[in-house]
Amino acid sequence: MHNCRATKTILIELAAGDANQLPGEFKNCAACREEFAALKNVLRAADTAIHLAQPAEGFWPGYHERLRERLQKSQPTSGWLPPKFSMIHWFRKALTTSIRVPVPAALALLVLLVFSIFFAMQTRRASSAGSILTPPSIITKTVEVPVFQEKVVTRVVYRSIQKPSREVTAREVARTRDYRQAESAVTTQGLEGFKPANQAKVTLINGSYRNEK
Amino acid sequence: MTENEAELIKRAQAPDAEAFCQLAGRYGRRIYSLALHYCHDPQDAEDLSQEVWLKAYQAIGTFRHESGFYTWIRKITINCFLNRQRSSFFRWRKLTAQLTGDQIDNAEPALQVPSFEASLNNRILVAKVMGALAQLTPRQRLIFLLKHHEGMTYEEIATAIGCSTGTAKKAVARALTKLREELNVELPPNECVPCAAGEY
Repeated sequence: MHNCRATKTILIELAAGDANQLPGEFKNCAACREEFAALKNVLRAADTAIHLAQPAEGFWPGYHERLRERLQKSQPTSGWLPPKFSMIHWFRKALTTSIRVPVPAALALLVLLVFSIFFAMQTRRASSAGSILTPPSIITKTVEVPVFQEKVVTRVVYRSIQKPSREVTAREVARTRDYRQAESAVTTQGLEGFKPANQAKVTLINGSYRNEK
Repeated sequence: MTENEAELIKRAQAPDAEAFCQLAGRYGRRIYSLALHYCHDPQDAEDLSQEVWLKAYQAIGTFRHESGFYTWIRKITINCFLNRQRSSFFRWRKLTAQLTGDQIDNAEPALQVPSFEASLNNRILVAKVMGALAQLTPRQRLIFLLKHHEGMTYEEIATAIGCSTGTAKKAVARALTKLREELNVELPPNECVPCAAGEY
């Protein structure tokens, strides 16, 4: 059912547009026809007023003279540049270019951006925590250290010399004499020409002492 | 773009102020008229339109012949108007229907005057139209002027202003409603009902 109130906005659009005649739906409605004609009259009156408000011819020479004076004082800021070399223009255009994005798409992009930032932060935090928990890597290096296995052992040897008692028998005396002779022979001859060895061979038996390593 | 105009643009880009003045002479009236209906004051309109030409002169080096010269100038004009609207620089003078003849004479000394009676009627009409436009926001007024003064499509207006096509349509509809109220055009008497004439 045709409703004049509902179609009022359409009539305004039609009148404001270039349409001079109503479409078929509205032609059969007298109210719509009158409304459309009234709107067209309003627009015609507005156009007439706009045209009438133009200044008279005598206004323009003075206007152009004033404009010429202002233009003479002003100079183009950057002079003339061939279009292909005007990088500033391209840079400015790149900075100021905008595109229209539907609101749902913009919201979806925004949510995606927020989630990506969130996940990036989470991943970074997890990786940093993982790096703390993992044991440090062991690098095995063989370093040659000179080991001196030579040992100089100084040993003091005590010898006990027993003197014979008075109640010794003749045999014992004889033995004692022999012993003394032998001892004197040893003391005089045995140590002569003795040279301590440069190397001493020490054999350590592990476990013979409590704290031996 | 005529060859002569292309030559003038090339000379203006040199820069040659005289060549640019000739270009301004070609389109100056349209820009001034637009400014006059936008800001409703002859002095402000002159300042605004000359500011447009000064900006165009300073930026003439960036004109790359991708569009017509007037389209380029109109873009600068719209930007100037919107910037001026933001800064609220110009004095807003409402030339409403209550103005007397003397006041109208003072407000617009340069109006065309064909005869006394016609002039009076015309001045009243102009005052009413300007009074109606004065009740709109500057943005709505600019959209209406671009539609009916410049003959731009809604899509072109939306691109130039930076709004949606629906907003442009609403602005024009609002301007029409205001004009209709101001010009005292009566609504049709049988406006109100769902009528049976258009049942489909």
